[in-house]
Amino acid sequence: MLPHLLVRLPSAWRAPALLLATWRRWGSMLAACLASVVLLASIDGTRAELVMAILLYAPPILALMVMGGVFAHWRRASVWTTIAQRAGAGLADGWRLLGLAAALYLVLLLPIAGLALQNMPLPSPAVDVPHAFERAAVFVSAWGIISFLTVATVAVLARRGVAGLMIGWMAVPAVLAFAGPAMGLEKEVTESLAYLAPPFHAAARLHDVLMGGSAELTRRVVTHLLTFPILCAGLITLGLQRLVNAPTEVDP
Amino acid sequence: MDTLVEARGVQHAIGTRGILTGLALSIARREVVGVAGPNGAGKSTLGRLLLGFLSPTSGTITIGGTDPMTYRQSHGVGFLHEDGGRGWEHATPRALLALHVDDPGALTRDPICRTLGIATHLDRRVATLSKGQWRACQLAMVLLPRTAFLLLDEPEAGLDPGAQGRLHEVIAMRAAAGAAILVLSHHLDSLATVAQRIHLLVRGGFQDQIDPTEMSLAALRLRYMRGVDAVLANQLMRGRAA
Repeated sequence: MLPHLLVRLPSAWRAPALLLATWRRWGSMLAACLASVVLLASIDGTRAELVMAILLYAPPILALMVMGGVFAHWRRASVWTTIAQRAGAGLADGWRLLGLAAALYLVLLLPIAGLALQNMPLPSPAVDVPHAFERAAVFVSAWGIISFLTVATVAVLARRGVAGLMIGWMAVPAVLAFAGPAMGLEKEVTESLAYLAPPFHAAARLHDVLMGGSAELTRRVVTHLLTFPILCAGLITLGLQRLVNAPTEVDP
Repeated sequence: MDTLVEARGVQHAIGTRGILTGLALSIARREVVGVAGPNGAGKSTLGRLLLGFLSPTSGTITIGGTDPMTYRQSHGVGFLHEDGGRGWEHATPRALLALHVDDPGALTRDPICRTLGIATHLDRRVATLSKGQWRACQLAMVLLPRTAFLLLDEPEAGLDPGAQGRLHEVIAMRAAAGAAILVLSHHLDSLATVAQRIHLLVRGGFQDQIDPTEMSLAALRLRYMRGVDAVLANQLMRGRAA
């Protein structure tokens, strides 16, 4: 807690900064981050699949811990009533809090992603090395944005079962792939429903699109990548409005 | 009278259970109004409705001519609620006060802070404050922004007699400066000191309106007990008849 730093912030940023600074589980979150970094540093390049799995899942889990925890902290009766009585308290506080969380997420992401990339084996001599890294860079950038939007949306909307909801949302395409034909859903319906899920698959194909993929692939990838942020922004706004206007006071 | 807060026919129910049953209340600027009542009478629900945290099932509430939520978000309100500082254990009073004032540097010079005597606690963690010290800091958070409407829920809880005297002093200062103040409490002696009128709330309805300047504290207590007992006895009779 740095009270002298907080009181020097512009007044609009004091509430989100105080919410982040007074969240109680910073110790366990930083320990989890440190454990990820140590784990990644200890893995050699022959276990590339494990490295990639950690690279893909560890940062969103850490971000979920931070954002879910801070929004739960905000919903506490004693905290929320202190924040809510200020003139101007509302949606803007929520968006500023998400902005600060995004900056924090980036700080967490960089060392983990850096270590994971350092441990990745080089592609075979037959593959163009700059091309492989360019492909990885496009995917990791898109994946970082998508995972942040997914985590932010779930953290704002959910009050309990945050991790389960996020896993369920991310698993929608796989569920549709298996359950769609079994339930007799038409292909168009299945494809339409898949647009509601986080576009990790579209992110993996984004480099192909940029290199001049087919019109059909381009249409699907671009549509999914553009509609998902709009969907998340709408859901986050609804969640923040519910939190600010008609909250359920909780004090766990 | 320059009325700031106006409630008419306010009812609130949770499911089929009526919490408030048709309240009418007005509070003018420079006025301190008390609402007294036993536990479960509906005082806290009335407070949440006036803050826009809940919407009434029927009836209307306006503050400054608009609904409570819009008023709170555009003008701010001072809301003192009872808690032990949970959630803010790692914060300091200075950081919390900085949420509510434009110039945190001027805190120690403010007459309300000086009256409440909180200057020495400003940079301590909330977890290290006594209940009374935290209450004084909460009062400062509520009173310093100079909002036009103040709602104080059990403000004397945890305060020793000296601190209660300072509480009455700062409430009078804010009322004199033009605030409309509602105090929810079952401490009749405290209400008799600060409020110009006291409404007796029992089982969700106002049963009596009392001018505390017209009677002694003993007479006030007697009238409170009679008001509460009359409602409870009436409900008991109706229950038996049914």
